[in-house]
Amino acid sequence: MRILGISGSLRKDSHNTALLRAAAELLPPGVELELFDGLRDVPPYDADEDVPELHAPGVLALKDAIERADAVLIATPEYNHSIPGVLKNALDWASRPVADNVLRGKPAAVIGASTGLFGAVWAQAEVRKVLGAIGAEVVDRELPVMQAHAQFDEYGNLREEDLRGQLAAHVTALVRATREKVPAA
Amino acid sequence: MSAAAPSTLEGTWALDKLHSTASFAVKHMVVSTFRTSFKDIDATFAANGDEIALTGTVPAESIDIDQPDFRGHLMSAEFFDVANTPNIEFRSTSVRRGADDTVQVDGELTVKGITQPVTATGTLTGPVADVMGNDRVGVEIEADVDRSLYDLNWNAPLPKGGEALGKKVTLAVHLEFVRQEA
Repeated sequence: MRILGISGSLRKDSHNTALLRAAAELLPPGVELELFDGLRDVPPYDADEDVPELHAPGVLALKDAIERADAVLIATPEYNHSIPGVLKNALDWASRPVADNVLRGKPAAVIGASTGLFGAVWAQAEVRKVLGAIGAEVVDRELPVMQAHAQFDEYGNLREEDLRGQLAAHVTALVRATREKVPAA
Repeated sequence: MSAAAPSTLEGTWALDKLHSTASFAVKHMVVSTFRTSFKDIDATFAANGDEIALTGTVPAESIDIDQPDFRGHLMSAEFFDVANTPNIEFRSTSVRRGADDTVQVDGELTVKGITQPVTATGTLTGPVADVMGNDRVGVEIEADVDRSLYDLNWNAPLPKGGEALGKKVTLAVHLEFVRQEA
C-alpha cells in the first residue's frame, strides 16, 4: 500500500513535513508513505488553463502522485484558522474534473501541527470538509499537534510517546479504511 | 544548649525571587491542560500583630512563552493587553491562618486593569531558620478565577464540539520570603 503524504507547508523545516516523516515511521508492514514535494510547482488555479493540453507540469505531477497512491495523508498548518492557500489551491486543481477527479473515492486523512495551543485543529476540519466536497473518503478524526516547535527531537522524532501513539492510531485508521476500500492494497 | 524561642512572623519580609514562582493552568481543547509561569515576580509579606499583608506584582510580558506568534497573541488586547495594562497585581485584604500551616488569603486581583475579589488557599509555613541563620517563610497558595471577569474572553468553538479555551484558570504561587533586617 502506498500513501501519499502532502504537507501544506513549503517551509524547509516545516513542522507539518516533519509530522509526515514521523508518520512514515509508524506505518504497519507493507505500507509506505511517499512525500509529495511538488506543492511549490502547482500554479494558481485558473479555469482557463484547466484543460489537459494546458496543464502545467506541476499540476500533472500532483494529479499523477495522487492517482498512483492508494490513500492520501495531508498535514496542514493553520493560517488564520484556515487552510494555507497553497494547499487549498492544490486541492482545487486535484478536484477537477468533478466527476472523476483523482481524489474521488480515495481514502484520505488529515493531521496538523501549529506552534500555538490548538494544533491546527480548525485547518484540519476545513481540509476534511474540502476533501469531503471533492469526493474523497475522509477519515473523520483529527490529530492536533500543538506547540510543534517543541515536539520534535534533533532527529525529527516526536518526543512524546503519547503523541506517537495518537499518530500511529491515526495512520492505522487510514490504512484500515484503505484496506476496506482496496483489499489488495 | 537551648533551642531558640520560636520566631514570629512580626516584621517585613523580602521575596527570595530565585525560590519563588507564579504560574497558571487552563484547560484547552476540552481535555488538555496548558501550564506556564511568569519569569519575573515581586511580592511583599508583612506581619503586624495578627495582621498579615501580602502583595504581589507580575509583569504579564514576563510570561514564559518564547514562540513569537503565540506570545504576540497573549500580549495583545485579546489577552493581557500589555501596552495598556502591563502588570498583574494582587493585594490581600485578609490573611487567616488555620491548623497545620493552612492559610486562606482573601484579596483583590487586578488583571487587565480590572480588579476582582479572589480567595486563595494553601499553606503558610515558618518561620524557619535557614543554614545562614536567616528566618524564612513560605507561602504556597492557589486560587481558581474566571478569566471572563477580567475581560480575557478570547475563545473559539472547536470543530468537534466544545470551546478552545476553558474559562476557569487556576493560579498558583509558591513564594519564599526572608526576614528583612530591622
